[in-house]
Amino acid sequence: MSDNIALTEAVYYILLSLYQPLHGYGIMQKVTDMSSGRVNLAAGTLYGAISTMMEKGWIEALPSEEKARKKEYQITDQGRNMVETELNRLAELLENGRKIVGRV
Amino acid sequence: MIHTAYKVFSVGAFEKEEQWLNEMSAKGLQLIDVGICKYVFAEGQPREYVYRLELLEDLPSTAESMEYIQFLKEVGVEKVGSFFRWVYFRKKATEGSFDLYSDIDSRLKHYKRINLLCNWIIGMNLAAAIFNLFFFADSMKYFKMGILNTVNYSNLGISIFNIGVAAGIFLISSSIRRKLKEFQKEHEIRE
Repeated sequence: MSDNIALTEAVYYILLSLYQPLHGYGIMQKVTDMSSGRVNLAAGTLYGAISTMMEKGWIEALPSEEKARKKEYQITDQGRNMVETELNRLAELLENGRKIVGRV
Repeated sequence: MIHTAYKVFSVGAFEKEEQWLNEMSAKGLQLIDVGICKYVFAEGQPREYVYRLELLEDLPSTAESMEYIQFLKEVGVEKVGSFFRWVYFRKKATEGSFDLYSDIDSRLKHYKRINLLCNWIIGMNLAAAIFNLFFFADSMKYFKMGILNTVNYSNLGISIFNIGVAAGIFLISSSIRRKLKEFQKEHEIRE
């Protein structure tokens, strides 16, 4: 699978928020904060994204000590690679946009 | 005070069902349990909860579904009840707006799942209609041959009923197919 495929906004922000271990609700909060309220992840979408990213090995679930504690997730090295690749892609998009449109 | 309502919603009318539950909530009636065509409400504040209906991939009793439901619980979404693969969720309105999906992709996936279920039910009804037509046609043949002394009109009746159900569900689910097309188009341009 090519690494040239763009990440969705939701996935990008979830990965960023998981540079620190967080549980589901924490991810939702962090993403809303980072995007100044623009991106609000819904529970079903978040769950789907987390499941897919775990399958791909971009994030991992932390072993929980007691059953009662909410499950926490964090980014893996592979996930970090995805974010860095994405940053490069975004930089390219931004640079070209600014060249043509001028500084916005 | 508990209020019980009996209402039939076709599988293709899930948007209407969800809308109705939220209309009831606006009146102060909060859904607390569901049964077959049966809805149980408790009296509460108007718009105390926002309700959403979701068709799961598998029955709520499977491990994957339970994991999903548990995850939702951790983010404040409560399961009120379920019927087959349909799960009724609610979240307190004070905690902000509540939607299960926030992007086109995941919403599209949900609608595809619902559309598939509708098509299955329509297909099964059409298959049953054809079977029953054959039985009816056979009974006519054997009646004419003198082997049977009545024609099985009941098979014809059942067949017509099945065709009616298939047609009904097909018509009602047109809104689902319309949304699917909209989402697919949208999906090509943005997320």
